[in-house]
Amino acid sequence: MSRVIKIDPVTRVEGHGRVTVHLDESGKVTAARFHVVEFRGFEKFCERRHFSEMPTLTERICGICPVSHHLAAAKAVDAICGVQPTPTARMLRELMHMGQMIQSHALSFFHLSSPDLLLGFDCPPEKRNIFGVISANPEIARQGIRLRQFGQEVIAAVGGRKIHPDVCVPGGMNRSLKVEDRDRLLQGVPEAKEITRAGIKLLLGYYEANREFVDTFASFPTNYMGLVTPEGKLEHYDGLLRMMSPSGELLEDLYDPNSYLSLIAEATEDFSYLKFPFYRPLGYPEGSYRVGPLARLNVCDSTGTPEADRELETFRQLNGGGKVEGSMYYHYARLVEILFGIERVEQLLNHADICGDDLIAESYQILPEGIGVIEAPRGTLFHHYMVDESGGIERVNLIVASGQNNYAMNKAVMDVALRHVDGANLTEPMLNKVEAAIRCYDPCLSCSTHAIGQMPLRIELLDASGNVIDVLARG
Amino acid sequence: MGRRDDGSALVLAERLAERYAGVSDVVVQEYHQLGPELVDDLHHCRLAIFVDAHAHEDGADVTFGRLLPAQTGGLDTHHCPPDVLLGLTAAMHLNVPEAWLVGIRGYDWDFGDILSERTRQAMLEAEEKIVALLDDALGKGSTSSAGGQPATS
Repeated sequence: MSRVIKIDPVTRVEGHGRVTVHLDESGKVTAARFHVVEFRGFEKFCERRHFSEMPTLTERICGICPVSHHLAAAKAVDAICGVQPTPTARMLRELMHMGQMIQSHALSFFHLSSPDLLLGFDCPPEKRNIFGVISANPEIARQGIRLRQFGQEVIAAVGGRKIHPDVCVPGGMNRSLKVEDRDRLLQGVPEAKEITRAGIKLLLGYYEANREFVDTFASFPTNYMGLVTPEGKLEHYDGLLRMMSPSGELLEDLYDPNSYLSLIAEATEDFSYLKFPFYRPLGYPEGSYRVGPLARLNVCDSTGTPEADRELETFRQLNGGGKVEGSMYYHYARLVEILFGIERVEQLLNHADICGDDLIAESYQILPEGIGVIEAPRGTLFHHYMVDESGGIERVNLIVASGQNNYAMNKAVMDVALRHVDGANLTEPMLNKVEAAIRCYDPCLSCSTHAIGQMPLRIELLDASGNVIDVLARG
Repeated sequence: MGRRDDGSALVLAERLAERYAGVSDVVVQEYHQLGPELVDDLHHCRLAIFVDAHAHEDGADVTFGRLLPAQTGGLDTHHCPPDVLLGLTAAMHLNVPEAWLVGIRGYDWDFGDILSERTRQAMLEAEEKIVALLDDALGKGSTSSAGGQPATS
């Protein structure tokens, strides 16, 4: 009798998804799918609001990367007004964005993924959590908190509050950075760097001790996409799109993000509310691509900051100089980006004009549409608004990072299930590995389906008729 | 403009901040959500009172209970339930404040900038209970009419 295993919900990710693993009569895996089962409809209920509200409306999509939505929306709103923010405002936005990158990546690595890495996939689930990490390595837990705190403080200093700042306005920012805040943040830079270096050392030690497992864990070739500077360097706030093939061939370079509709289309599958974006010229699924930290490090020529560049060299040796394909290396890419983020914070804080008060470039026009594209912690984020003559929103299109990794997450789930799940001798650690494949991508499902679901993990074994024949429950 | 009764704790926090302005031992903080970084603040506290709106249709207008640190579980996402935050504080710093969880039932979740009358009354009731707790902790004795022993949750 064929069976289906359900992992519902997937834990330690933001939002609500489930995994089904399909088994044949002998218990061998025949298929595995990642289902995103929540639906929010943000695009629809933004309609008829005034465009200037979008930065504060859309950031409510998420509690972990609100700054990304705030900034992408702000850029789209700037475009509607036909205005570029002042240099100081531009720097403040990037500074806040780097704070977001640091805090989001720190949470992902130190608190959501470290239980698997530090305690092991076979550790009992009741201990495989942040309490287990504190018990095993309290310093790591403390460092994770301190690093996230640093990122949050950067956001608060620029945006007025840690979550849901309301500082971006059309053409700039509505508050300046105080000198005392700049000086306080600069004092925190050395500790933030030290913590990140310690995290990298810990992670590389794990990779070294588990080389074969890591190299074969959800490792597969894909296309990659990310923003780069005109010089090809790592870029998160502005830049141009670069699409790269699995072998490193440039499929698109310095592509204007405003033309993204010619570059990207979205496919749908009947098992998920989350769409499947793909590179239009290659079609679906051949044109599926990955975004986020791993993709960004794969597509850029360099990071542009000294210490992150040195770490990038080490990263590039993971696959003998080729593109790094293993999903587990997302964690490393995340830490390199934290390092980059801290270095950018330092550079920006040391800029002579960072505390300046020339914050808004005025505009009195309303253009019919605006597009804002940035690199959010999880990947490229598109906000596209169409407005009427009075600025009322007529249509919204959001393409969110986690959605663009949808195909890769499904492939990762399938890959890990095939390699690690034995339906005849099913154990909880096997299924945890399947979940961990998704955690590598740190998806934010609340963002990408535009409800936060928190339920205990429940795994059901169903026969071909859908009858539950066994249940494993966690929590 | 917000989700009306969802903002009851925010309104209460503003009232408490005004009431205890200048009292250095009382710190009122507002958060959209609780995160693990708050352990560094919490372990310095003697008393922590968490206040939030609640939407339990079978719940009292004001729920008021002692909060104990979680011993297990953890972060499934980016925010911490208050008992997990207390548990993290206890695990990392070995000391944890006496903590209470106050819930104010909401009735109207539509867009608007004022509380429904029933939630406003509940918010005032919650304020009295919290003031009693705070004044007791400050050694002032309670001036409120809350009285009684809160139920342990």
